[in-house]
Amino acid sequence: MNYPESAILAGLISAISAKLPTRTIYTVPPQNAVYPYILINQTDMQEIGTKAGKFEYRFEPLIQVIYKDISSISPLLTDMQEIHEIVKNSQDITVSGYTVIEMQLINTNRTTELYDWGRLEIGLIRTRIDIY
Amino acid sequence: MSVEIKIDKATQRRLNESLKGLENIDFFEATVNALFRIKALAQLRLTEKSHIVTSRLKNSIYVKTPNQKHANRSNNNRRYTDNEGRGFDADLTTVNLDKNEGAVGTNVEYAGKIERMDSYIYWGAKNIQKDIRQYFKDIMKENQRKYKK
Repeated sequence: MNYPESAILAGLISAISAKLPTRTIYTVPPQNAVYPYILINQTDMQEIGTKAGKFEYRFEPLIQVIYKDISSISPLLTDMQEIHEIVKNSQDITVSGYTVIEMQLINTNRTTELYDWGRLEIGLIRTRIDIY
Repeated sequence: MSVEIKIDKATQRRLNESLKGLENIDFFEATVNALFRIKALAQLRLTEKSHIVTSRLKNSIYVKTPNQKHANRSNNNRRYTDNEGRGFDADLTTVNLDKNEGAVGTNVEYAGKIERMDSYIYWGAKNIQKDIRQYFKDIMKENQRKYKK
């Protein structure tokens, strides 16, 4: 059986790739990342079970859709919608070795970051995934 | 069909004793205590993850409540300085609060980037979830202790 965090990451990457096959997905963005890309981070887990012989794990990863220097936010919003669909239908995610109890949308937001080298438009999706 | 429960005098006395003062409990203080715990955890997280350069972000984290009720504490000054002596205002000017609402956060421009790359505020909130009831229990205990005096 995989370590739960590895299994969750693999499951999320697989589910997002199926919906957005042309997007690169990172868990740690490299210096020369190619835009647009999707970043999955903050995947630290909490054990929330009863401790009676079976562990339950809770993850609240942040999924970020990151575009650079775009003139319309439409493609960003389309990508976010595809990810929302995964959250809405938690059966879209398969976590190898574990059963998904529930997947919820905690919140969603957008932000803009301005740098000397360009402007980033970022979609933020925070989800909660419970597995056992 | 009805059910009647009778309790003896000793039990009634103990019940009355434990209920004394409950109506006067200010549960909002428990909410504010929880916000201060989030603030402390967020500051620890920033230090632990080596996000401290000038201490501006760490010192800027501020608990805001209506009229700063329960939030006027020595570790929550609206004016703060970084470790180079520059002064800043920590007020969360875009946050409007109703009665019994509170907020914890920062108005530093680059705070959002660090939060999304390596969460400290959300992480703090997440890590008090398991024992949030304890804050309310503590307030009840404190209230009963005062009442019995």
